[in-house]
Formats: sequence, C-alpha cells, structure tokens
Amino acid sequence: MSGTLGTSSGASSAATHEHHYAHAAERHYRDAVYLHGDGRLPNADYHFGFAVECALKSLLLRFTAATMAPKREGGRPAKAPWVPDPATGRVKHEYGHLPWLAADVALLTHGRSAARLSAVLATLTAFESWTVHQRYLDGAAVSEADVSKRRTVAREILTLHEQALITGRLQ
Amino acid sequence: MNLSPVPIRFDEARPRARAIAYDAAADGVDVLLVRDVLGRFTLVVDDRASGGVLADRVVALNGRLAAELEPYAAERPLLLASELFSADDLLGSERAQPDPLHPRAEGHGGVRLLDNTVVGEDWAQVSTPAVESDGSRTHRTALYGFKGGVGRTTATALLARHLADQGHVVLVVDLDLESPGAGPLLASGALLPRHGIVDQLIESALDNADGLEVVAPTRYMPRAGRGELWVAPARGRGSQGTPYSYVDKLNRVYADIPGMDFADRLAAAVRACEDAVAREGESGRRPDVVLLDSRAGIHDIAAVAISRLCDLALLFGADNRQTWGGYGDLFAAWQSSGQAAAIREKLRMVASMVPDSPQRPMGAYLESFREHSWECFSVLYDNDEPEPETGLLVPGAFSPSLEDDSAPHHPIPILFDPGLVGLDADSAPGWQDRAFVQAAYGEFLTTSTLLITADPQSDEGP
Repeated sequence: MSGTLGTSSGASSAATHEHHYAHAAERHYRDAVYLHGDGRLPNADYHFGFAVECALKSLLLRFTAATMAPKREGGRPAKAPWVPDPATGRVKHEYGHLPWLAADVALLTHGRSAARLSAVLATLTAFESWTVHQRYLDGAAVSEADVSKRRTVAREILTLHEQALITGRLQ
Repeated sequence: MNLSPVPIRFDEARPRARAIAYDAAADGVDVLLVRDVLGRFTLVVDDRASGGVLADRVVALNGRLAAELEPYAAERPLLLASELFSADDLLGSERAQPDPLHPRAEGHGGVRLLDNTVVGEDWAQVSTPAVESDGSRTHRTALYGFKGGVGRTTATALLARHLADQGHVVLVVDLDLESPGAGPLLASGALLPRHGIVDQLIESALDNADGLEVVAPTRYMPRAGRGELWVAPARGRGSQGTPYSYVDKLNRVYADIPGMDFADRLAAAVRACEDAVAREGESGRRPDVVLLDSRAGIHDIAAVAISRLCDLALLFGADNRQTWGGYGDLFAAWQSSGQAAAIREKLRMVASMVPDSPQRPMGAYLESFREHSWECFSVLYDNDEPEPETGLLVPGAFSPSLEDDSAPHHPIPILFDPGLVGLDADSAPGWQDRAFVQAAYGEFLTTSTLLITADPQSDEGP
C-alpha cells in the first residue's frame, strides 16, 4: 500500500467507519484492477462491486444523516450505514450490499452539485446484475464486457470519492 | 511540533500550510495546496515526472502538516499524485492559481493553490468577455454596491435611458434575483415579459428554454430615433391561471449541472437575453450596451457579474466604514487569489448619495472619499517603489496616484437630492433636463457613458 495512505492509517484504533470504508474502497479497486489485468474476471468483478459499495458508504457517512451508531440504545455499532427516521428514530433505510436502487442514493443528491452527482450515480445501473453471492458461484456468468463496464463505473465513483475527500464537497 | 495551548484558527492555517508547501517545492517538485470547504489543507505533491519522492520525506511532510495545522490538516494531509485516481483533474484544474506570495525560485517546483468553497468561487476567476464573432462589441457593465440602498438601481435606470438617448440599443438585465428592482422599475407590470431570468435558468437546465419570452421593450421613447431600451427582469409576469412560483425557482437556480457550473449558466442566460432583443425587436439589432444590475454584497451573482460577465464594473458606495470595510475584504480576496492585475482596470468607484450642504460640503466629502478609496485600492495596485538599481518604476506597473482622475479609485459622484426620492416612476419626456437630475446625475451620466463605450482594448479604457 502507498506511503501516504499508510502513514495516515497509523491511528487505526481511533479511525472512523468512514475512514475504513474509504481505504477499503481503494484497496478493493486496486486489487480488482490487478485481477482484471490478469484475466481473472469473476474475482475482479467481485472486487469492483465492493470498491463501489465501500466508496458510497464512505460518502453516505460523510455527507448525509446515515450513521453506524447502534440501532438501539446500549447495542453494538451497526454493521452497515443506516438512516434513522426523524420521527421515530427507527431504521428508515439500511445500506447493505449492491445492487442499490436509484432511490437508495437519492440522499446524496441535493444542493448545488446535485445534478452532476446524479449523472455519475445513474451509472450504478451497471451493477444491477452484480451480487455479493457470486463469490460462491462458478463464475461462468461473468463476461469481460460486464467487468469492463463495471470497472469504468467504479473508477468514476472512486474518483468522485477521492475528490470529495480532498475538496470536502461532493461533485 | 506545536505545543501552544492556543488553538489554530482559520486565518493562521493558510500561512503555515503555504510555508510547508514551499518547503516541499524546494525539492524541485511541483506542489498543489488544496483547501477544502471547511478550510482544511491537503498538499498534493506531483511526483509523476520526478520518479518519486523519498519515503522519509513523505513521512516528514505528512507529520508537519498534521502537527502544524492541527484541525486544519485534512484526513490525509499529504498525497502523491502518482497514487491518485484524479491527479489530472486536480493538478490540471483551471481553478488552481500560482501562489502570488511565492514566485517560483530557481531549482524549486511551483506552488499552486486550489481553493474550494461552498459559494463565491467566481470571485477568484476573472476574465473579460470576448469580442463577438462578427467583430462587433457588446459593452457589458455591471453596477454593484457592497451595501444596498445606495441608489444603484435608480442610477442604472437613468443611465440606461441616457445611453438609449445617445442612440444605443440598451438592455438592462436585473440580476438582483433575491430582490428584483430594475425589472419593475423600467417596465410597468403589463409590459413585463412573461418570463424572467429565473425562468431562463430553470428551463435551460432541462434544455427547455426555446420560446421563452425573457425581454421586453420599455415604454421609454429615446431622444435619438435609433435608440432602444429593453429590460430582462428577474421575475416575469407569468401566465394567467398558473401560479408563478418565484421562490421555488429561485431556490434552484444556483445548481451546477453536468458540464456547466452556475457561472456558465448565468453567462448563457445573459446571452439568451441579448439574442432575444435581436430576435424580437423591430430593428433586429443586438444590444450594444448591456447593463447588469447586480445584487449587493459578497454574493455569487455579483461574483459572476463582476469577474466574468462585464468589461466595466461600477462600484457604488458611500464614504463610511461599512463601504470601505466591505470593499477592503473583497479586494484582499482578489489580491490573495492572484487576480489583482486582471480585475483592477475593470473597476471604477461611484460615490453615490453625495451630500452638499453647509455642514457637509461636497468638495470635502469627495476628497475624503477619494483618500479612503485609494487606500482600499492600493492592495490591487502594483508597488510604486522604484527599483533600487535603476531608480525607475517597474515597467508596466499599474500604480495610479491619489490625484489621478482616471484611476479606478477616483469617484464618479452622484449627488443626493430630495427630488430623487420617488423618481422611480419618472419616465416623462424631458427628464434629462430637469435641474435636479442634471445636478445630481450629470457627471455620472457623462463619465459612465464615456467609460462604457470606450474600446476596452485601447488606452482610454476605464
């Protein structure tokens, strides 16, 4: 892993969930690129999906009301970001594995740069047929065309995520 | 290591970050210092050409940024361009500016700054409109006051009539979207076009702007036969039977859309209004003078109007602390973002509501105004100290003296006259000859007209 990222991940005990998601997103992406370059399509595809999922979870935790707080008082931290209903405090929506519906990421798209961001997030449709369960499958259904398409989308979303971390805003 | 118990605040962070960036550049690599929307700094080191930066150096710089900037260091304070997804986007950004305080030294890399704010980035992006494709020139002038209530819109209306009297095709665009004034002032209700600037911005975002009615001729009959006076209001009159949701539209106009940020969209909206005049007018002439009635304050609309849309900006003010404090902040921002040379010759002060009474004689008031104005503008002017070896000023230095009556700081006066109150509806023939209009606005109308119609490429520009 890179020197700069390595240095800043030193204080891992105090690191936040969004910090972990950000680093995981980049790690999954780089591993996927490595596998894709070697023609190992099923696992490349699997890691591109995870890269996107982690980047979006990092963005949701940074820019929206999504939280990893325990879902009930005194409980353990949540395993995935979730959004409380303002009225009841109960889980209104939980962000699991891809694929997500367009409505799932609508939380991110308001404000000045919403239209531009919506355009990037609309490309998430490339992951409609992606599933976390493909790690248990024989991989025969994974095509080079699908992986290339998903790689392009993953790169766009990872770029967006990286820019958001540097500039402090989503666009 | 910073062991001071005093917390680091926003203003202290930037000089510290710049010093570290400059040290990093001393290794011969280009660096980009990025400030995020909360004010935190990331230093991006462009190691792509140099074949890498020593790991020890990376750790040291990273540690220094974190220790010296404290909360103003980003989560990852040091990034190497070779490891980024978006290095080209960042390092190639048009918004990145060379650090004006740190010119590139021999053997050093360059230091550039990229500021990210929530609003107002256009203050730091100065450009001047180009000549039209057919070689004609549209003179675009922004009228701006740091504080409202200084008679800017009334002056805009009178200046527009005066220019139309001279035979110009004049378009007044009401960019005071949050508090429209020029539209209703220049066109009475029935004459307002169906749509306004907000409709142009909303509909064009969906590629749905064809057929909008965004301009209307005013009832004003100019003295010279060829003159025309048009208005593009912020708010249109709407359509009967359909509620006109001005606030719902206004709350959406600042959106950036893919490929076009708000500044591009506002520029396109003004151009659409100019095209509409040529299309809808009987003469078929394009406006050759456009007056942009900008809103007050340090606001995005003003930023775009002054920095990008105009070739002359008339800055209204009264001789008081609020005025000079405000312009001082604005000029400091231009200076620190490296825009001083690009913006200063576009600017000209207008002293509005100038008193003239035995207690407050006009001469003394204007003298005090000019001194304060000159002090304020001095941050935008070049150093006037001669070079030590030659005893000469730096060639091309722009450093007008206090007395220079063509300099940006020299005020064009508008006198305060009680007769001006209620002038709003006064479009009767012969208004120009009324004594109080002559007395109050005579010099403003004459001087502004000269500045507006001067060729900005010549030496006689503002």
